[in-house]
Amino acid sequence: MTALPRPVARPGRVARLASRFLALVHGGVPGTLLTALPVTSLIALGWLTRRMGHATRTRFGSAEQMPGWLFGPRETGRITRALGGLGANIRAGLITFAALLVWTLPFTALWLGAWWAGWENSFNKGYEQAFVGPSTYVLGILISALVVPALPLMLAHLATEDRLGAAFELRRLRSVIAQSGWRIPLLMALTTALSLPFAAARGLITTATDWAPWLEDLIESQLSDIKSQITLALAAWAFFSLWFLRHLAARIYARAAPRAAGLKPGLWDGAQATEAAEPARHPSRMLTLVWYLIAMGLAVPFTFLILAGQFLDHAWWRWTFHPFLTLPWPG
Amino acid sequence: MNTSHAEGTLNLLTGRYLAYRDASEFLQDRLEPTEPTLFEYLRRSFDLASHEVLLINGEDRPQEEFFTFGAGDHFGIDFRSEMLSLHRYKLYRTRMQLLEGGLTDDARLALQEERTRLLTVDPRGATPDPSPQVEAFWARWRKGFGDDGLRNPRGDRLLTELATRAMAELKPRFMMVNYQDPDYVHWGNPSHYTRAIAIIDEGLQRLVSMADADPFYRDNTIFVITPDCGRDANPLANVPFQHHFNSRSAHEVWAVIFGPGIGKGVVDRPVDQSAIAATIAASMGFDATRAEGSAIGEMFL
Repeated sequence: MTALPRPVARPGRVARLASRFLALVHGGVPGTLLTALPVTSLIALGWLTRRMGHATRTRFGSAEQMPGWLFGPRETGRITRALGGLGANIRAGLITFAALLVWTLPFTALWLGAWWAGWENSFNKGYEQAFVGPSTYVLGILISALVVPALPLMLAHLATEDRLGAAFELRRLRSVIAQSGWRIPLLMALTTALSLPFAAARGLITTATDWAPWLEDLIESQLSDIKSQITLALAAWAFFSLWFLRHLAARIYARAAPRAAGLKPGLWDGAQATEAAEPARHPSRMLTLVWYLIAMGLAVPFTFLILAGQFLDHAWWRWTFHPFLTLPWPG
Repeated sequence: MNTSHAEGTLNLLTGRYLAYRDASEFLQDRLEPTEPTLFEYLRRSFDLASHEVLLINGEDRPQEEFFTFGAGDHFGIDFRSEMLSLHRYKLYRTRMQLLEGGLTDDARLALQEERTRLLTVDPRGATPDPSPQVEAFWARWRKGFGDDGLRNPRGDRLLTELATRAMAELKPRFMMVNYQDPDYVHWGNPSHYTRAIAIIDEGLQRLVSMADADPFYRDNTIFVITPDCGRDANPLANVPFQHHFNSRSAHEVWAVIFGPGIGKGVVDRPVDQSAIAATIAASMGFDATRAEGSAIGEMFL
């Protein structure tokens, strides 16, 4: 009788899976909790930016410790070691938030203005000027369609360079976008798809007394529990979605930026991507335009989801603070 | 049961639920009553002229502009109420401006287009001409507020202005004022709701004061104040004032009724919205024979 060979134990794979799971928990639990509140979501935003920067610079050949939530680098003094990570997250969060505000306010402020014009028009009966609100909103949509597809790579560049000015290096950003091709509409499609639950949540909340009439009979503490659970669920969705999207954007940037730097070394002089610059072909301008136009088309449903969410359950701050536009906080 | 404004208004006017049919075209919201309204019952019972039975409607309720009579083989257009609204005033103004002449070709064309647009708002093409009394009312309105539309009040203040002028000039026996401003809360500002209620409150004060001061109305006028629908009390929503989502509180309405023959106190039992029409009919001495609800008997002295 021939003995069967013993199954080969693969502790390496199991350990890798366990390690990934632990990393997910280690990143996701604090991230979700921090994202639940507007002020603390700034820390989560900073952490996401630092993770992006770490991912791209590692691909460019730099050896860095993984950014943490609280602790700073190991080789530093006690205070820096104890709180350096938190400080770096806050700093990165502030820089990212400032950059995102500058990029998004031109259209989110128009949306806010369109909403104001709408109710002002309704309430004061200026129906002769009724076109102001809708046309302001449409102008906001056009600007957002132009801006939103570029945001992930702008953030990747900002994270990689780790300075606010990088967010406005438009020529570098344009060359990265040109090298990214179809990945830009892919990112935009994923962004739109992942933003669906935010609009759906507004719908579910607004119609809640229809499908859950018992809600009207709950006491304050029970309602408070439900509100906390909704906040946490939305925060978890926002944080994990952003983590995924930003990770993907970092990978796309890490592939595109060295090619862009290889093509135009003068333009990229002094940038992190030059460390990994590689020769590349000039992308077709027409193809770049087509991919970007497709991404712009995919950005329009994203903006309509914001509108739909606002129609269902309005809160003025959601015109400017969508998790995928500024702070991760779902509002 | 749909808790929208047009439906609720028709529940109040006909004393029946679901007494309407869709009369809308694509992307329109338009209902047509299929049962007699209070206007028809009253005019048939007392042989009143059309200008003595008035419905006063706002700019944001084009779907309620044609609730002056119910379609069907009952009373119909001969017993309709007159409608006072900016829509009707614009119909009057454009007709007069075209008759008066003195317009450039471009101005005449623009005016004709405006008038055609106004006329096509009625999907039935059955907007009756106003009575001579209402024509005279609009002539006086035009003299006071002009043609540009920028001098007359707007929103619910407009409705109060129309109602008080109508009381002074047309002496209606029955008048329904279709206040609407609280609905601007759909824009998301809770203050729209409270501010609009304050505006309605001021309007009611004017109407009641006017009735008290006029011998024609003093001691013989009953006021019925009731909403066409409730509002959501959704504790999870940022602005819990919607009413389209079938919530219990959107189905809960109230009524304040006062005047001669009405006792003081509270009717502390559930009463259907369909009872309002029957109650008004009973207080005015006629029968709303096809109404489903019965009059709230215990409120009468």
